[in-house]
Amino acid sequence: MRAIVNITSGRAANAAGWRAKDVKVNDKNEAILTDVLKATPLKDGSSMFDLIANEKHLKDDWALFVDGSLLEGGSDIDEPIKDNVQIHVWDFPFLINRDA
Amino acid sequence: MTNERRQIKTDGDKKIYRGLGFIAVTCDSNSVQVDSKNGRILRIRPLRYNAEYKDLKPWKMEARGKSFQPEMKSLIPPYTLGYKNRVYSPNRVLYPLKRVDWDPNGNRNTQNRGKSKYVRISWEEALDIVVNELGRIKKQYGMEAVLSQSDGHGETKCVHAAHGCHRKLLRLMGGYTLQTRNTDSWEGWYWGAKHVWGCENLGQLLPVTNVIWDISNNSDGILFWGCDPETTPWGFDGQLASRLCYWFSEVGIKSLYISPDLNYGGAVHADKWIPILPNTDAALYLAIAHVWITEGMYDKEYIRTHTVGFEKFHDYVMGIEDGIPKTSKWASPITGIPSRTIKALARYWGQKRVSCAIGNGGPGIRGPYSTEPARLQALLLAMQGVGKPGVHQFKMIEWGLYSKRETIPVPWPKYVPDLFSANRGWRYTDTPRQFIPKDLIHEAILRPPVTWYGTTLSRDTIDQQFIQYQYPLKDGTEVHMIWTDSPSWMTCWNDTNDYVRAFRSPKIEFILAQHPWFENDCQLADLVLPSLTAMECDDFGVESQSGIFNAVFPEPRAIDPRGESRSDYEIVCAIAEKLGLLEEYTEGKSVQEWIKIAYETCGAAQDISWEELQKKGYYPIPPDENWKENKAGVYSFYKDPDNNPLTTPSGKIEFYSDRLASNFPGDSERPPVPHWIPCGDSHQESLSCERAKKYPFLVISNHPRWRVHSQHDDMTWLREIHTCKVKGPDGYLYEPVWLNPQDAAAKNICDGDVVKIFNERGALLAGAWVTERIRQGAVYIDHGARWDPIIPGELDRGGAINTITPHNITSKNATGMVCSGFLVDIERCDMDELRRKYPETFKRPYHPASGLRLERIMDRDV
Repeated sequence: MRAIVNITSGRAANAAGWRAKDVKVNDKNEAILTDVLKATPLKDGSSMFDLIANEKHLKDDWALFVDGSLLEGGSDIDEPIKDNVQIHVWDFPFLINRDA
Repeated sequence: MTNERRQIKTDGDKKIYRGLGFIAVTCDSNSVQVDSKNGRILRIRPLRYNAEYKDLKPWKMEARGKSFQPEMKSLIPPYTLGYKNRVYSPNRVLYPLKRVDWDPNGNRNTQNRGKSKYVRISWEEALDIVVNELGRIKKQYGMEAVLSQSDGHGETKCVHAAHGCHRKLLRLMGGYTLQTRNTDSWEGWYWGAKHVWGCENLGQLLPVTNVIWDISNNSDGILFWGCDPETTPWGFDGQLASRLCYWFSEVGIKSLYISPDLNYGGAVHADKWIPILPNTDAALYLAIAHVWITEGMYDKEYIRTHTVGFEKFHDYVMGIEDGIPKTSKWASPITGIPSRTIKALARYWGQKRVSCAIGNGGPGIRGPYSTEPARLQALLLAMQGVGKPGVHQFKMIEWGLYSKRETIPVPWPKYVPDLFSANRGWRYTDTPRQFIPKDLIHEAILRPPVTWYGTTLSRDTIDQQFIQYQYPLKDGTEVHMIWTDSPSWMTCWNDTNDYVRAFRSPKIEFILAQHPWFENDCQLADLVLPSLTAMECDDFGVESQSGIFNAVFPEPRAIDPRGESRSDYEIVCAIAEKLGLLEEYTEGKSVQEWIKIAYETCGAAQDISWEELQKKGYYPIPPDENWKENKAGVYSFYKDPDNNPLTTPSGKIEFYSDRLASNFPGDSERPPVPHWIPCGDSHQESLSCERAKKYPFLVISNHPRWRVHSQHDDMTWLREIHTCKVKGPDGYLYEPVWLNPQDAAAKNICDGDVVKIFNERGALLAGAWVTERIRQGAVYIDHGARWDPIIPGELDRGGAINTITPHNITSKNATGMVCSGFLVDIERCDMDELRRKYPETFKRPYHPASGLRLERIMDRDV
């Protein structure tokens, strides 16, 4: 199971040190979103899960697009996902950075 | 310039204000006032920004004792001014149309796409066909068998978004395969210069904040490299770029144009035109670097403190790496520029404060190996200390891209309004697990499997360029249905004769198009649903790219929908309703509710109430009072690179890319140090290649003068202009091809002749415009002319040059498009012979004023 994790927000990018990563999750063809986030490394040795999720939910100030579908802050992340999923990590609510 | 406005009488019974640009995504420009009467558009004219806001003041910049401020009216291009031609085009699709010999329950005759006629059917029948086909495809193959083409440019809309409304519905049905839009017009920067200086997301210098003010004060000259500020910005930004070019001359800045053609900007503003052979710019950059190194004419201290890898670049330029010093004498026969001119240019650039202007044209975009000239421009700017006052790269287009102020080189507005939340069309986060880059669609359909690097999406970062993808996925399916709401592959992409073969494949069982006009790829569709134009629906809009004022608009319709047309959003709603998914698709909200959300989330709600906005019809966002406090461009990096690093791995400008070296070892088409690459595995498109013996001319094809890509080819008011169309002896208006008089004489071609442009990928007809404005050895033709096939996949009468552009991507690991700087031959046509050979083509209903008419494809009268 492979997931492509893209980072849109500056907060997550600073924590990760990268903006897009090919994440190997397991040897099967599917996983749950929680597993993907736990397999996604950050600079300090923690995971994306630690940064943006609580036990089973997305933290309120984060959003994910999973294959284009929006999961807003507070959403359940115990969802099955398929191989090659594209994930975008965002600040939530969406803030347009008008000062760049 | 005066801010006084003239009072113009309105004799219509309805007046609305709105944006009328053609970017399609939710940023816009070209704001207008539309007057209509008795349900018809009377006229479209520029918006007077102070019509409802008498005290409004534009920004003003001062330099060298002079001052510049924009006028108080929008600077709209001719096709915005004449847009009612487009609304009332005789080529409008006003009813659902089905291909006569496509039977969803029987023979689909895919081989006849591009030849078949069409019949009018009812909306009910059309929607039933769509729903049944979606259900059948899902059951037989799975939803990933549906390919969504839903990107590109078009009318800018928000709730009724011109592109991508169907993506959400397909997601709700279980998924789809997305055509990802490669970064066309930015290829070399995105795939090349990002590896030099970062500057996400495009690889063009960023930020460009205040660089025009800084240039006005500190630059001696500007190199307009392959760009045309009098043409390309029109559809996206309007014409402030033109005004600024006059301003540059007014304050004494020299304008040097480097391009094969004396383009419209050069014709008006150039102090010097350097005519270069198409796509040989990498050799010119290298020769300039050779002069600088030899004569010590570069900023050595900056190289030491702000860059890495210079010694490897030095070794290549001086011939230590390959035994070939890249001297001006070496570059002269390659570029067609005299050695003395190259030296003079190098010395001017090396001794003066010089900036580079780009603008979605020239060598850094759509040529073979465009990564190389793009990287080299960045490196040469570094050799002159980019970021110091007067030394920048800036764009004459796309000011306010991605709603970010740092992309605006003129004084900032208070903020950039954004419609991300209300837009019902595509988002760049839409990427599903199976996708195909747009420039590989033909390859994917005809010759799977296909692999490539990167999503190719413009908002995705450089890290994506090292991720490999494939189609079809191991657990995926090939595509068997195409749903397009931006049917312009034929006129805008690469080797599109091969796309014709792909779309005629029996693998593609159903092609569904929705579009206001029966043009281009619609001719390959099995079902065409009539979309309406922006004039015919209630929506919400912004102005965010003009550089004058940003503004927001509640956009009531100017007229009612023509015929039975519906908005793209309404079409998808109707399909969703039949599928029982309407509530989920609309999120339970009406169009008017989404319009209100657009207002609430765009940023303007903090400044003006909804009621006041509706009453006044628009709200211009004032300039940022503190704009002068912002540092120009990458000045902070220039002053202190350690504390203001770039986004490259080293934080500095990289003459040698370790990242390219380690990820793509042995890639001779995009090596770690940029090279001059005349030919390689991917392309043999230079005059030094063997193919040049057979096809001795290099084509340059930039953004069109009289269109926005494929939009507006039917504009009555423009078609009579000689540089828009050339009238043939048969009365047909042919797309102009520019030919140098000496080349024309050698080929026995006279001005006004109908000619054939061809290579092994096919042929097209064009009207010869014999002019000194194109150098010898090169021919120029705009892209985007309407495809009017004589033999689909082989011969085109409309002048769609993209039918014969190169097949392959930028280079083997860079997934950009190539459709300029390639080889062809050209010859005069025998029109009598053509008429005898293809009598049907020459009998098609046609009117010179508007071009192709809908009747030509109808099996019986509508």
